[in-house]
Amino acid sequence: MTPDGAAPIATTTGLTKVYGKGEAAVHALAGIDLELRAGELTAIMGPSGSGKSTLMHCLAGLDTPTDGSVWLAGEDLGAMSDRALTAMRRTKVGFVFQAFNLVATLTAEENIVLPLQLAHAKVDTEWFDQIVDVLGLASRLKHRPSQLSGGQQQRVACARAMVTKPVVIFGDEPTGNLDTAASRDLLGFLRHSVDELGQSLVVVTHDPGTAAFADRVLFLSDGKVVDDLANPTQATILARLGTDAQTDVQDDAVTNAQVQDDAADMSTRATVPPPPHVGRATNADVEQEL
Amino acid sequence: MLRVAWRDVRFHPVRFAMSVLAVALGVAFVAGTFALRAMLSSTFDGIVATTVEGDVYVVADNGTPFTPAWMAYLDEQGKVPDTLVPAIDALDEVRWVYADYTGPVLLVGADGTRVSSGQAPSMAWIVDDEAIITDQGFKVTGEVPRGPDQIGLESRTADKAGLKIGDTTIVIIGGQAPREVTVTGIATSGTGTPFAGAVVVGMDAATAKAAFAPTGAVPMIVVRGVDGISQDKLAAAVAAVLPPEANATVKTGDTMRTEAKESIDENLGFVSTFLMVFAVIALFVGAFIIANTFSMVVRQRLRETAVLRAVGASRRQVFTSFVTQAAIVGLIGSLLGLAGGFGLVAVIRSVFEAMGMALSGEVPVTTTGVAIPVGLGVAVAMVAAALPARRASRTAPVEAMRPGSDDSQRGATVRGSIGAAMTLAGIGCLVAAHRAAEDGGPALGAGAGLILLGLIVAAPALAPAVTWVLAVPVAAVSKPFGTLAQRNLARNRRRTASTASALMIVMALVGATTVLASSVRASVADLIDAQLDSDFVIDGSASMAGVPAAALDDLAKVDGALVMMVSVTTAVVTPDGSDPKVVELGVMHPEAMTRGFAPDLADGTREAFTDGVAVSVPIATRYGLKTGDTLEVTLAKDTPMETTAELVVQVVYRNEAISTDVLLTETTARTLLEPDVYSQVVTAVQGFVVLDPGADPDAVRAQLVDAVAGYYTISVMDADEFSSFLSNQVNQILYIVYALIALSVVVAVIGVVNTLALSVVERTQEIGMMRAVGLGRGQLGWTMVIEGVLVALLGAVLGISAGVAIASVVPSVAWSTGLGVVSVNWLTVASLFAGVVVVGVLAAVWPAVRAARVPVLQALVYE
Repeated sequence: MTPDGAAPIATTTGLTKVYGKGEAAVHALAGIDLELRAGELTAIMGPSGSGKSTLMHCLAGLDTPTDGSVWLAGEDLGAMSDRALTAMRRTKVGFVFQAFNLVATLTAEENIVLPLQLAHAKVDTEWFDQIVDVLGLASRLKHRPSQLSGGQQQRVACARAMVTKPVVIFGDEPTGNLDTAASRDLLGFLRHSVDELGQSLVVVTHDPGTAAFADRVLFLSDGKVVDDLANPTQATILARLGTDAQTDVQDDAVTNAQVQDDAADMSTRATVPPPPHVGRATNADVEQEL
Repeated sequence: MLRVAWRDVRFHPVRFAMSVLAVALGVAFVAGTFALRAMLSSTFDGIVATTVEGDVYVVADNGTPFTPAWMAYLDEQGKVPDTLVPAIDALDEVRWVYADYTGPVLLVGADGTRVSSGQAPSMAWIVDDEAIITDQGFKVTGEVPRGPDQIGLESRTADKAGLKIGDTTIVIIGGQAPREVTVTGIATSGTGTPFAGAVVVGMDAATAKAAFAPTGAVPMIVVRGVDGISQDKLAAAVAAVLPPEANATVKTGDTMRTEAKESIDENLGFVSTFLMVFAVIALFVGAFIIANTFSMVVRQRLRETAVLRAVGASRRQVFTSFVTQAAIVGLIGSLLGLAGGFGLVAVIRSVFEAMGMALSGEVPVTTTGVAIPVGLGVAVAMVAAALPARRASRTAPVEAMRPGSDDSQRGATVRGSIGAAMTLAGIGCLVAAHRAAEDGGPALGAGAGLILLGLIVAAPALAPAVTWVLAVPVAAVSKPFGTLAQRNLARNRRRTASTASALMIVMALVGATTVLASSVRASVADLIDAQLDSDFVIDGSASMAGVPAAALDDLAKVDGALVMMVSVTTAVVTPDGSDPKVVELGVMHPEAMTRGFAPDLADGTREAFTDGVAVSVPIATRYGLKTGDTLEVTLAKDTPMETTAELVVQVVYRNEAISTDVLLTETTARTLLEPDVYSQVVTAVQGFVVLDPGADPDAVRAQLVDAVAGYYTISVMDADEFSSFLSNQVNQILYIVYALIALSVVVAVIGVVNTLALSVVERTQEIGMMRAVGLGRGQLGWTMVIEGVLVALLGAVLGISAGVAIASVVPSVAWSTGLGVVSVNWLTVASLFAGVVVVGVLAAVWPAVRAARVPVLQALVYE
């Protein structure tokens, strides 16, 4: 139970996910007991392979646990058919992914109302206008995704996630492809939606700057929750990461050196390191003809 | 790089299966055509070898190329008098000689019905000298027939008829009355199928002569030399005894056999050209599918290509890699197609066999029959892949690394303009063809070609707009899905266009065929309405012999009605100052023009047609004939009974309802020809019956049916029945055309399936994301279905419009052949569209299932 007595939005009991069999088996999630509280922005952090994405997929009903149970918005996901899960995703859950968020052939407006149309539901014009206004998308509604900047695309994705008034919105590295300014804008909006609109949010990230916007940070390692940090600042997060003996997040360490240990200064200094794009870097200088 | 190419084919079997199938179907058509042609050819060679068995032939000296004996009576061939036989028989060099009296024979089987030979003839065979039959490779059991009451049968005919030695049955020889005969002997060939399913009835020479050549004029005299004599020496000896006035010439057996084969090959050439057209369409459509597959493969492999380029692969190597894949696909498809083609021929052979036409030997596997289809398949695959491969090799490595590069929009406007210009030019050609009427053939062909090519070129530019219009109703009812489907198609307009183009060509064919068919039907109905004034029609066209003379006598005696026969013969007309022209000449009952049968007249009056000649508008136009002019008409040309007369042109008629270009009254024809000659050269084909005032139609019909009852092949119809009888003849041809088109439709459908399936692979991430935000499996499938239907409809809209437009002009060009009415059966056109919708739905089923099976998560974490 949350301090203010509200029901949890999601609960997991002994959540286990195993990929492969026998010797090749990988325990992505090794028994997770968790309660996510309503009206909070929860960040899930952890190094690559720690199971943070798998946890989010299981919480959102996108993946089926090997063992244990997941309750989302008061319903047992394990007991639901594909059809019921689809309906659940339509009405109770919102998603913001790192990339490939939008349907390229639809305009921003059409993308935003897509979940409602899929559910044959009416658009709440007032709510729609409010979201669009807050996200500053009013002038971009008729544009196709290819005509929008990366930040605008992610904001459209947020608007689409919010338009159904979901119980919870899941974000999978929502700022992963954005530059510093765009990340800050987006995170600002997410914070705003939690504080002003009471929206519950779960964000998977490996960026301390992003996590610092959360009310609560869960640290995952080897498929287990190893720490649970309330009201984090970038400093406490970095400290936590620094003390983690098992850490292998080199990128975060680099960020560590670049970022001032001052969470309050985030608005001007927060950096969201660009995701490693080995392919692009290696080939940048291989030009044209051979 | 070769290894990379091969691995890719091996690890993505589904991706390439479609291309393989497309190649296989196209190649199956080509291979089947070659094999069928080879098989028909060897069948007919076998027939030539067994039926053209003489060492030397005496034929009319008119230079007409030889046609085999069993085809001779179908043709306007010169004839020689049988009086030459005794002089030839007296020669020491001659073993045997006979005059080839032959013609149509109707045989009634053990079950009391006519023994059907399908499309093969049913004919007489002169067998009174057992030595001759033995020399032809037959073994005789029983006795050879003697006299008019006995017949012999070829063994296959006997089997088919269920008759054995000693049985009695009915035959109708030529135009004679039905006669009861006894089977005295059966001849069995040493080789497989000597007459290719023809019904062969043996009889003695005197019986055959009485029926087929009462005047003694025969198409040929067959001579066999004594052992050891050369054909040339024998020919010289025979030539020496021919009187110069006989107008006869001597040809060696080898010459005759060569001429026979040439004439057969020429006829078969038409069949294989016809089949080849469909083979080309199938390959063409197949090429679209291959090009589609490869442009998608190229897109999917851009990253991999970039890596290859980055590690040192040259442009040429990348290009070669893709083209090699195409070659592998082409080779596998071609080999499968080859097997399919041979299977197809085996099926065709059993169908022919079931219809009574036996084809000889195994399905022939010849070097050209294998090399050409396989070579074509591989070449088409490689050429189709070359363009996408070139695009892949041109892609800079870095550009390829960037996601979502969309290269399909370039050049659409230019292509659109060029295509539009071509289409407009094509429409111009059609208008010109319409204006030029009869001489519009070339313009019509050019118009058809330009329109189809123009639409193919313009298709990428048209695709978004046309699909948008088509999607409007769906988008309105089914909110996001219609839009989603349409935008997906518009996004890849080139791929959409080429998929639709394949279907377009096929649908143009279907549309044109449909319009032509309904136009023919409407024309027939129109003509019968306007020009046929009779109560009943008698039709004898089912037999080569037409309505036998004996039946004509009975028909003339019918009470309460006037029976007017229309007969045909071959004649030569020589207009003043022009070369002679061979025509089919109609001989009409004197009252036919004024009663019962009313062609539109361009010049003259019906009553004026008495002892002169009537000519059709095309003939009158070509030779500048008008009423009052004279026309030289030669009947029984190149026979000993040849007659020529100068006749006055009394009527010029529009010949929609009459297939002949020149008409005489029966009175005139009988004045010009001796009765024997008349009965030999003139065949009654149809009769028109007009009731006397107050006569009871049922009573008259009963009498008519009675009069023709013993002849098996003659039917009595009222006007409605006659109309549907004519339409059915059109339908039979249509069914064959539709069957061939159906195979092309299958290829085109595979194209749609291919495009949808590959676009599922391409859009995996988008699909996963939409599934995550609440797109149900059913909704995903529904979107795919709409896409499939929209592509199919795009092809149908373009193709059917083009086909209907082109076919609508055909009657203007071909009006003189009786196709005067343009009729577009909109119900049929609508049902075509309905069929296309079904095609689109069916094509979407498998890709939709594949898309729905994509797990949401896998789609999201893809790559």
